[in-house]
Formats: sequence, structure tokens, C-alpha cells
Amino acid sequence: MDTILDALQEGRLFELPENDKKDSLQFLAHIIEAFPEVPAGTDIVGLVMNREEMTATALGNGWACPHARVPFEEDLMCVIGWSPNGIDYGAKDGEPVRIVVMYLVPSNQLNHYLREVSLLAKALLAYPDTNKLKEAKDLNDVRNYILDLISTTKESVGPDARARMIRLHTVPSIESYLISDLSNLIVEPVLIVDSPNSKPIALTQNATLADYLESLQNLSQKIESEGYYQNGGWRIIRRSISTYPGGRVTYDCIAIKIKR
Amino acid sequence: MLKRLFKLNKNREERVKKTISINEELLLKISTLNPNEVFKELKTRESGLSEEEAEERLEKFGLNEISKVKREGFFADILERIKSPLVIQLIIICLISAFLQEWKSAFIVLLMLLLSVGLSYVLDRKSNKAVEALGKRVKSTTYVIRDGIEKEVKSQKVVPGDIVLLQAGAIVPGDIRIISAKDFFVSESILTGESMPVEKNAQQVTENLPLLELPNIVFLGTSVTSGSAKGVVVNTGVRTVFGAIAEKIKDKKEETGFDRGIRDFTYLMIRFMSVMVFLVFMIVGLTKGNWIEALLFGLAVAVGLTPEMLPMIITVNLAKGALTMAEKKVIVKSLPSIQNLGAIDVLCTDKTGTLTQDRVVLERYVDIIGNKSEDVLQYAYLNSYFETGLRNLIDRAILEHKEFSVTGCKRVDELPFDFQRRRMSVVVEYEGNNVLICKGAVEEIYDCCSHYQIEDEVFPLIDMLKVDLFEEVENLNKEGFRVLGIAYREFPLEKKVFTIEDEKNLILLGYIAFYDPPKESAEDALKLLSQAGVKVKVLTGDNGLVTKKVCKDVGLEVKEIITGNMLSNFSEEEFSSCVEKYDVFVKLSPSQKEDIVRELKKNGHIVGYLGDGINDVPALKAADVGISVDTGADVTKESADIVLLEKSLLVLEEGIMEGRRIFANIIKYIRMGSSSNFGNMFSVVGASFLLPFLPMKPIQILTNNLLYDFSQTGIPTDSVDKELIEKPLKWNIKNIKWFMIFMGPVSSIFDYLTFGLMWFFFKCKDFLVYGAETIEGQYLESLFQTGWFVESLLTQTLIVHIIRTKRIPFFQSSASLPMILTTLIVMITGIILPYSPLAPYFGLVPLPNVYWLFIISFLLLYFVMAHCIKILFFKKFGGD
Repeated sequence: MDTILDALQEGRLFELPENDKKDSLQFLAHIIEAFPEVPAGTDIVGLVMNREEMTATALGNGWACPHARVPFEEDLMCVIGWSPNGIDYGAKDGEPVRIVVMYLVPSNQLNHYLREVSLLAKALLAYPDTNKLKEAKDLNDVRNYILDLISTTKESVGPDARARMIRLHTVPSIESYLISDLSNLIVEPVLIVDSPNSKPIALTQNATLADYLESLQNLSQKIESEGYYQNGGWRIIRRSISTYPGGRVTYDCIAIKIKR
Repeated sequence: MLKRLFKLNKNREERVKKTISINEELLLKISTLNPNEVFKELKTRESGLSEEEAEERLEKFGLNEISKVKREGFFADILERIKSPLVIQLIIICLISAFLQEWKSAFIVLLMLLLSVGLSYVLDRKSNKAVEALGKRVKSTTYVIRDGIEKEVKSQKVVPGDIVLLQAGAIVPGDIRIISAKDFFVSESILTGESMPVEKNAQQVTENLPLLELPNIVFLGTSVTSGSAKGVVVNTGVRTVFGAIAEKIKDKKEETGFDRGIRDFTYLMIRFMSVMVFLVFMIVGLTKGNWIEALLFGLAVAVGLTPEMLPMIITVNLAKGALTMAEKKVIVKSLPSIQNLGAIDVLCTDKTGTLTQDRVVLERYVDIIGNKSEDVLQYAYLNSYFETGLRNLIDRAILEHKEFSVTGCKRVDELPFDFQRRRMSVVVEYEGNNVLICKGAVEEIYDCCSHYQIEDEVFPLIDMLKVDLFEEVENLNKEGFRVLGIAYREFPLEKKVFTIEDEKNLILLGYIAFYDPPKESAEDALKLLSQAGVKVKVLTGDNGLVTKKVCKDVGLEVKEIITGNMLSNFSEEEFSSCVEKYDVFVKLSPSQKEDIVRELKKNGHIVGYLGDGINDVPALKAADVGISVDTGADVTKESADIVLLEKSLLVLEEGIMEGRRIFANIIKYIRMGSSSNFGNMFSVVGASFLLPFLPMKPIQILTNNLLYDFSQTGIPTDSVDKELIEKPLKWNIKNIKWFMIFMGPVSSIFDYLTFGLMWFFFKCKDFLVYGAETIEGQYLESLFQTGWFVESLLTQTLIVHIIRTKRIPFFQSSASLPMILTTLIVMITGIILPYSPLAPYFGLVPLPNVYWLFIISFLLLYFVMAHCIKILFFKKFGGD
């Protein structure tokens, strides 16, 4: 929530002259338009209004975060508006919105914005003194309330979790193996016998290959549907299929591997 | 005219509607019934028809086949060829000559006939055979349930009421109502132009949907891309939607610009010839009093005045072009189309399968804010990799994109795809956790997500942010991608059984985006086409966003996209100007594609159409030249004039250039024939009137023509100047007429000079003294005739070198070697013939040596004069 702190520090907290949503948004958008970082002619009002039309940006607990996404690169910035009586903003919790944080979201700051708003939403839920905002009499009270909210939740509010992702290794593409020496190539004929209600049997002279193939769960399905199976360094290519009574099928295949 | 066109289209549409309306209604009705009602309606059952019932229905409904174009037999083909007025004229002359027992003349004319018809038949047949070999129609089979047993039958024996089993790779053997389906995707691109496979299911339809959008009906000719299904056949053969379109093939191919041009020119020459022959016949008859001789002379003049070798020249030219194209793996099915290819100034093209490769490729894998993400790719890979059963196109595209080793991952469970959820999940065990990875339609994925992930941080997905995140999806959609969402959730290892209920509180990870990539050669080919003066218009059934992306990728500028809906609301005038002004048309129905092609033709364009789907058939047939690709539907290839066997589109531009070369060479013959014939007309009329004998004997005229015709056989091999084929070449009959009027009299001037030379200088006027009965008189008559025979042959043969180029002949542009050789051979033959032992047979006598001095100077003068007048002509009238 650094951006909000910056706004407070730089005096970008204003009392909103109107209780009307549209007027309030226009008021704040015009302030952003006047930022020296914003190129002349940028229609912040239009951008904010268009976004608001899609769905209201109320966060609940009397806060809203309208914003304008702009196509240039800059820092994430905001202005804060305080409405003493609250604005009918169409918030889901039905509360009138008293704090409107309007963000300017340059194209390189979308992740920053998402983090900021997500954390703000969490902070609002975590902050115990929900009435403090309603009781604010002037901008100073509002400033204190916001600073308090940020400082009390700073330690406790963060991402819900740190993701621990599955990491896969890229199998180097076949082109990268230059088969300069054909003696490196292992070719094994293999017969895969598949029958309903039992595991497929691989008949081959290569015991390691047989064990490997029999440990696979979807080998015969893949051989059936795609004509080949590739993994574990082996490529098993189907040559022919023979069907027998009782749903039994044999796949005559050839297994190829490069010795490394 | 426009009204008539629209009326014609409407009539045709009505006709098609009538043939399918009952069947269409049946399909719509069947789609709203539950399976039991469907069985009742089609008088069948889940265990299928019995063999007897199937037999009865086969008899009642006929074989499950669509109409095909039947090839003509030998006699029909020959009959078609001799229908040309030029050939009919030769036959008549041959018959009359035979009737009058003028065997020599009859023989020479017969020789011309054989040369003309025989050669064109042989070459045409040869190219047709190549096409038939190409039509490798595979007799497909289908699995049906009959008498409760699953069996394989030929697709043509499938009948309404049959229960059919469909799986990946199968071609749908009829219009079929699905009664059960698993992960069933069908590619309808052949019917609709839509490149992405369509999901089909077994649910009853409750809302009003257009026929082609019914989710529980699959159509004949479409192909199953993944999954399996069981269905009941509703309609077969010509009663299917596909069959109704294929019926259009039966309509006769429309007359093309080339056909029109040849026809106009032929009739122009025949009109000239008729007037002339009558005039000459009357003059000779009245002045010489011998009406039989007058008739024979008139007939010989008729042969002399008509470009009787035109059909042969055209066929040889086109066949040579077809051969050149065959080397480039292009099959030219109807020879004239290769010339039309050179004439096109607008090329309309379908998108899927023509500009694009008609396959699905994984193009982007991005996190929620649009940054490339390896995690997204790896999770999508795991999902597709551990999916059991048949993989659809999307899964294959993911797996083909990059190969990962899944060591350390183990499949725990799977939640298969279904049409309500529109997503599927696999559960993978990895380092002490079970990870559920879900992939599916973005909206459905959003509904299951409570969190989102940026880099490695996971945040709650509050409602307000969903809209902001969805913007990224919209951006991808706008770029023409088909987008799927990827989400995941971790579970403890102890949980072994998973249900759909577990697909909630997921973490949104990112998106994968697919598209149908453009052909590698498309961009270069389009650039070359534009340089060659051919405007390209895209006519597709697919949507605007995808089309825009493809156009961008192949370097086509998109000013505005016109939809089929917009077109149908336009007035006739708006429609006409719109097809002219804009280049990209989307969401078009087959008949709208056809209407656009017709309108462009009506506006004076020569239109080519490149398409591969069944929905392209009407437009292919309406175009001046229909082009298909080898991967196209059989029915499409059958209605195309040209089939590209290789994926590369570069060959198109080469084909166009080849077509222009051919056109330029045909025009050479026409210009030459028409101008020298027109000149001869003046000479023959004047000479017949002024001379006491025939200016040339009928046999001499015919021999002169045969030699001259032979000299023209080199034309198809002739080289063509670059500037002649820079832009589309069209028939311009007016230009030919003017050329005839400009150039014709030039040869007449030299004919009359020769007449004067022979009459005065070589004293042929003494014929008046000796009379026709004396040896001297006969010698002088023959001397005169020989003098003109040689001069006429030499000037006629020489002019081809002047007319073939806009530059200075021999110095700036030289003919091909065969062309030089044929003309040289004929000129030498002409010079030698009067001195040969054959001379008396043709009524020729040796010419005095001094004659050659005169002739050489005449030829030089003629050369210079003809060249100057040609320059003047091209300046004034252009070179089309």
C-alpha cells in the first residue's frame, strides 16, 4: 500500500465536494489529468467511467478503488477522495463509500496495482475499528485513520500464500541430438498385449524396457490413439494392431532409444 | 441486369431450399426430441436396425452418396469440340469439296481438321487423366449397430435410422443426431469455414437455433477431431446439408471471360468471312461465269479468312501451360482456366486451409497480466499429458509445443471434460502434494477460482478484480486467439479420490492461447500477387477477430471488416459498391460468397476464387477460375478448375504469370490472323474484280493457309516480353478490331504492289492477249498466282515477328528458337515450292530471279511500315 502512503505524503487527499458518484469520480479524475506525468489530452475521466460501467469498484467497508489503465509506462499513482457523508456507490455490502482511492495504472504497473488492491482488500477485512472512518470529522482524521489502517495491518497482511510450483525439465528437442554414430541407437522389437481387466504385458528381450513399459498406466491407450508413445528416453512406435476374441489386442511395436 | 442476377440467385436459393427444406425441418425437429422420441420418429431403436430393415431403407433412400460431376465419354467430348463454329465451317468446306470431287482441297481441309480437333482432344484428355488420378477418392467405412451388433459397413450403405459410432478421425457419414457423446469435437471447417473444432453433445435443444449451430447434430462430410459419440442417422446422401450444396456442382459451369472473348472473336471473324465469301463468290461468278469455280474459290477464301487454327493454337498453348504448371505441382483441370488465371484482377480467397494451415497451434502461454509464463505452459502440459483417452486438437497442440519430462509427477485422478463444466482436471502427485490442474473455458475457470497468482504470490480474487483480469483475456481474443484458462489447487497427499466438487477455490494461474497459423508462403504470395496487379479479397465464414489477426499476419491491410449480416441489410447499390471498396468479408454464408464473386464479375472484374471447403463450392463455380488446394474436400476439388497440390501459395503467382504468357501468345495469333485476314480481304476482293483469272487457285489458298498455320505452331513456345505480362490481361475485342483495321491494309498495300509487279513488270497482262486456253496464257496466270502465293506467305509469316513484341523485332526482342525455326521453315518452303517437282501439282511455276529482288525490298519496306504502324497503334489504343 505504498502508493496510498505516497499520496498521503504528497498531499493528494481531498475532501470530495459532492456526494454523487459521477461528480466525485470526475473531480478526482481531473486531478490525475493534471499530473505532470500524464500526457496532455489523456482522457482519464472517460477511462475511469468506462471501467466503472463494467462493474462498480467498491471494495466494501466504505472503500472504492476506481482506476484508469493507461498505455504508457510510469509509476503507479493515486489520489484519495474523502466523502464525509458517503457516496451511494453500489457496493455489495450496501455501505456508502467514504474513501475513494483513484489509481492511475500505467501498462507496466498492472501487477503492482493488483497487489496493492488485493492487500488493501485484505487490510480492510483485518482492520478491527470499522467505525473509525464514519467518525472522521476532517481530512486530518481521515489521514490518521488511513495511516492507522496501514500500520496495524502491515505486518499481518500479505499474500495468502507463496506458491510452490511443480517444476518440469524440458526434454531437449530431437534435433539437438545429432545421431552421428548409429551404433548409439538402440532398437528393440516389442509386442504389447492388452486385455480388458488386466495390465498390459510387454514382450521384449530388453528386461529394463519391459519393466518400464509395464509400469506405465496409459501406454496402450496412447499407442492405440496416436500410434506412438514417447517418454523416459524411449519412443515406442506402433507397427500393426491385431485384435483377438475377448477384446484382447496386441500391438506390434518397435522401441527406439539413443544410448548416452 | 443486377435485378436479374439477384433474381437468379434467389431462384437458385429457392431451388436449394426446396430440396432440403423437408430434410432441414426434420433435422430441426429431431434436435428438440429426447433419444427415445428420436428412435420413435426415425422408426429405429438403440440396438439399431435389422439387416432387412437396412436393406429396405437402402432401396427406399438410395446409396448414401452425393452428386458427382460425370466425365464425358469419347463421342460427347468430340461432339463438344466440333461445336465450335470454326470447326463446323471446316467440316462443311471439307464435305462440299468432297462432294465436288475436289479431293486435294478436301484432303488439305481434312488435315487442318485433324490438326485442330485431334491435337486438342489428345492434350485435353491427357490433362484430365492427371486430374482423375488426383481424385484419390477413398471408399470410407463406418461403424454401425445392426441387430444389436457393432459392424463395419461402407459409408455409402448407411441409411436413415442407422445407429452410428463415431470416433476421432472419422468422417461423419450423414446428418446425424447425437444420442451420447464423450469429449466430442467435430471440425466443421469444410462446411462453415470455422477453423476451430466445435463441441457437440447429446442434449435436447430447447431454444431456436440455426441449423448449422445445433449442438446435437453433426453433418455429413465434417470430421471428428476428438472424442467419441453414438448417433442416429437422420438424413443421407443428397438429402443432407452437404448433399444440397454438392447438388450445385451439377449446374453447368458459367461462361468465363476467356470463353466470352474467344466466342466474340470467332463470331467477329465469321461475320467478316461470310460477307466476304458471298462477295467473292458473286464477283468471281459474275465476272468469270464459272459458278463451280466461284464456289470453290469462295470456300478456299473462307478457309483463308478464318482463323481455323484458333482452337488448336489455344489448346496447344494451354496444354503447354498446364504442363508447366504440373511441374510446379499444380493440376489444371480445365485448360481454359489457366488463361483465366492470367486474366484475373481480383482473387477472392477463403481463409481457413488456404491462407492458414487449418490446424491448431499453441501460440501464447501467459500469466494473468499477460507476461509469458513457463509455469502456465508446464501446468497445461501436465493437464494434457495425464489426460487419458483420446486427446483433442488442443491437447495435441500443447504437447507438441514443447516436450517436458514428467519425472517426479504421478497421475492420481482425472475429472474428464463435460459440456456443462466446459473444463477438465487432472490430479498429479508431486513432492508430497496432490495438485489438481484444471484447464477450460476462461469464464468457467473464473467461476472456480478464489485466488490468483502473480509470480509466486497468491492473492484472493475479489470480484472487482475479475473484470480487470478479464481484460487480458479480451486482448488475446481481440488478437484472434482462442483462449483457455489454467488454474490449480493443492490437496494433501491423503486425498485420493476427487470429484467435481474439488474444482473450487482454485488459484488462477494464467492463460493459453491458440490459433490457426497462416501458411508460411501466404505473405510472400500475397505480396507478389499485389505486384502483379491482382487485388486480394478475403471471404470467410469465420469471425472477424480471427480473420483480422490472420490478415495482419499475412500482411493484408484491413480497412474495415464487413460481416455477412451487414451485407444482407445492404441495398443492391450499397452491396455493389461495398464489394468493390472493401477487402475483408467475414461470417459469410456460402451463397453470400457466391454473390460477392458474381457482383465483382458484373463490375467487370475477372475473378479468381481460392477455397477448400464445401462452403466454397458455389463461389468456386461462379468465379472465372476456381482454385482449390489438395487438402480440400473432394467436392470442392471437383468443382475447382485448378488444384494446388503443394501447400505453398507462391505457385499461384507463377500460375498467373504462366496464364498471362499464354494469353499473350494466343493474342499474338489472333492479332496476326485477324490483321492479315482483313488485309487479304481487300486484296482478294480487288483482285477477283480486276483480274481476268483467279488471283490464286483454291488449292494454293488452302496450301498457303496450311503452311501459314504450321508456322504458327511455334507460337506456344514463344517468349513473352516482361512488359506484356506486368498487369492482368483481359479480352478486349474492340482492341482486336482496331488492330485489324490498322494493320490489315498494310499487307494489302504490298499485295497490290505485287499485283502491279506481276501484271505490268512480269507482263502477266499479256494473258489478255493469249487468253486462258493457250499455254502462254496459262503460264502467265500461274506466274501471277505464284508471285502472289509467295509474297502473301512471306509477308504473313514475317508479320508474326513484328506483332509479337512492342519493341523493335529481332533487335530488342527475339522470338523463341522453335518460333524462329517454324517461320523459317515455312518461308523456305514457300520459296522452294515453285521450283520443286511438286510445283505443277499446286499450279505453281518457277519465278524469275529479279522477282526476289523486288520481294526482298517489299519485305523490308513492309517490316518498317508494319513496325511504325504497330507503335502508333499501341500508343493510341494500348496493348490489351
